[in-house]
Amino acid sequence: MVIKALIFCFIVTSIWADESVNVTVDRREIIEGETITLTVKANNMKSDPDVFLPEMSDFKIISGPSQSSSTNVQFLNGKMTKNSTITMSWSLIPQRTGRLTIPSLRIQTGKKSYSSTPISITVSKRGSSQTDKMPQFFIEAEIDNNFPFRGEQITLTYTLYTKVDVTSFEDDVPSFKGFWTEELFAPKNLKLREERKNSVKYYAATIKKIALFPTQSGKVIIEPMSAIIGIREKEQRWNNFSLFGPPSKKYTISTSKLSIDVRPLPTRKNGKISAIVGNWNIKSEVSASKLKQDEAITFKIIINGNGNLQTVDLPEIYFPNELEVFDPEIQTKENPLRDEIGGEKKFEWVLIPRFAGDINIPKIELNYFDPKQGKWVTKSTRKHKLKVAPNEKAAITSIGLSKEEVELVGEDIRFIDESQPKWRNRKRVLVTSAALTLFLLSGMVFAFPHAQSFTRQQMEKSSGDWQAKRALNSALGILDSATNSPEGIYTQIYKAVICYINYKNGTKKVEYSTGEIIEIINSFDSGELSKELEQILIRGEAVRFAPVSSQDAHKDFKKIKELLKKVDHVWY
Amino acid sequence: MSGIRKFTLLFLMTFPLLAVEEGISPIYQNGMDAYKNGQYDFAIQEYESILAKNWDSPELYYNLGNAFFRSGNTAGAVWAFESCLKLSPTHSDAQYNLKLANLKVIDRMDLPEPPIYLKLYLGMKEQFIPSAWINITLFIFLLFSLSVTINRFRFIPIVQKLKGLVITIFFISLLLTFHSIWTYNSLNLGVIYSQTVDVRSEPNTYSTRIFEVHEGLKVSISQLENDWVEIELLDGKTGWISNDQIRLIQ
Repeated sequence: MVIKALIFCFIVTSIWADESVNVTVDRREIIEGETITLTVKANNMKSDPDVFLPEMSDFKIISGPSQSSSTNVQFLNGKMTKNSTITMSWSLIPQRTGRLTIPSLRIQTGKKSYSSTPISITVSKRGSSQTDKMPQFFIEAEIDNNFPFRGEQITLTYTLYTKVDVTSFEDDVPSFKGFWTEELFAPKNLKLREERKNSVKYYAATIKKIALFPTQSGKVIIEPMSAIIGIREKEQRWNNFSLFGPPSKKYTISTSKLSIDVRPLPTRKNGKISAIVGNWNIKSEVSASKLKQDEAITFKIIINGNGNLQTVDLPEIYFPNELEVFDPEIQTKENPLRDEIGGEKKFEWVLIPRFAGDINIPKIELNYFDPKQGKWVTKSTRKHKLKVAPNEKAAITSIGLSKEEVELVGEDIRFIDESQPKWRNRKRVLVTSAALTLFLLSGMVFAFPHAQSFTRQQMEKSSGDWQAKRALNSALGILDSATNSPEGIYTQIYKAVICYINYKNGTKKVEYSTGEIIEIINSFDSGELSKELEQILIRGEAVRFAPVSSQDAHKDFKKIKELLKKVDHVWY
Repeated sequence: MSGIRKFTLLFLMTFPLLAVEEGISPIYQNGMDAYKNGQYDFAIQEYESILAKNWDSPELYYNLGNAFFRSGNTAGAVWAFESCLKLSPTHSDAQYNLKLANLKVIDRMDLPEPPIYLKLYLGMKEQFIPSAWINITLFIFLLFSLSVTINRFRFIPIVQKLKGLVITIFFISLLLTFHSIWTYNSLNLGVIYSQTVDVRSEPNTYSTRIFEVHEGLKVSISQLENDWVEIELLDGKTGWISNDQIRLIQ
């Protein structure tokens, strides 16, 4: 009971701990390029807080949020106090100098909502007269031209300035939107040199040099480059027994944002413009100017100079028709050691003159914009005159002539055809009447055996039906020819019955036993009909041994006629 | 039916052809005479007038090709000889004269030699025009039907043995027929008729000029768009030219 009461007291004490939220920054006055740490501390919250950062146009978040938590339990005078703290922090870098504000932050925890007050930060320009502040270390971005033409090279240099020992350096280069870029210099190890910045002595090192070629005109922004720099701590803090050497602390620093006004390329009166910018030269060479028909030569155009080599291209070249032209081979060679991007582009064609005589390769023009002169320039190659001597052996290989065609050279066409033409309508159809006839004929021949077989079957079938229909009449006809004697009557009855069955079944059997006849009749009617027929037939068999009266014989004669008619009804 | 009535019916059936002969033959003869007298332009005019009346024949195209050749019109000669060979692929004189006309064509394109089996197959296909292939295939089918029918009534071993051969030939002929019809209907060819023609990337005069072709070059026609024709060269190059710069092979 006592333990339960203690637990109850503990819970009650914990619940009544104070809830609070603190939003702080580590520094309120900084120099451009330095970072500040924004920290949100939530004390004694029942659940994890949700921090909603406002849109901060003046700051850029370099890292964060990094979160940590701690719990502290104290017993004081028998009373237990429990404190829990959740800490969230961000690294921010200012985007400009002046008095900047971090707007109000909203922190949500459970159903409760807190708002912080805005925080002012003063960002001083590095080495400005008002503050005269120079940091221990910083990085700086410099461009050599703030007003380049579109396509003109500008060089961006990142330099690190430091007064303290730097143990590590990791840069994060921005994406250069609106530029075509090429790295000019990026040392593996920083080489320090002494340099004064605003009369302050620093050790400076060039981190990176990048050539930028603006691909659009107008205002273009170069985003800041940030870096994490490791600085060696003071020596007294270094424990001599440490295995890892003197400790260092890491800081995030950044360059300022740079803005460039890119000028568009001017128009040209004669309209001869291109996308090539820089300072270029063009020349052309032919491997031989005196040659024989069908001999291959090479024609080269070499363009070299400074500027973006990727944009260098030739206008469409129209070679004379007398020349067979193969696709050019293009080689590009960039300047190896340079601060200005440039190089050489070589176009090489294989040309084969297919006709003898003088062939002129026209001059090729290169139009480019020279930003230093601020005007369009046209340079051109010289004309080349090829003196092509006829090739006596050309008959075999010239202008792609085959041997057969070569034999035709000097021949004349054959004379006109004087035979009477078979006139045809130009709108004729493909299927002629001959084709139709053949189609019908072959179809008929193909179908003939089948048709014949079918006809025979049909005929046989109809013949059987006709005989079956005739069965009764034939039987009755046989009966009508009977004599008056009982033997004669029964003989005719037997013949009539056999005839009837033969006609019906399509058979030609001469003799049936009474049993066989009754079996056939039974398959259609097993009742009175077969019994009566059986009695008549048995009497007919017996008449030879036991005389039957003429009256009975006539009775059977009449009856058999009725019976056959009835059998005919049920026969199918 | 009496003899007179039979004759009248036969006459009425053949009358349209006779009428054609009556109308065209003098024009054709004028063309022949003009050619023999060296009046090639007049001969061309006469032959073309027959084509305008929608009648043709391999002989007409052949003689027209000769007249074009003599008058120095290479494109016309190539066109006429090609048209003749379309109607009569084995016309040896047209084949010969076409080779001579092609020697004067500036643009030369040679395709690599096809494999021997393909060459044989194409050679066989070119032997006849599509309507002749239809007739041949139907005739072979008739032979096959006859062999089947004969065997049904009386077994003849030689006929039985030939049946397999006939059916094989029938299927080969059927394949050639379908291929020939497909080629005839889908492959439109034409001859460049202007001395120099700029081939453009789009069917308009302000589009990019891609390459140049010269008179007498035989090209495939991919599509027609208003007054423009998309052509394809043997080497696969394509582009648009105005339709008055090309003459379709009939």
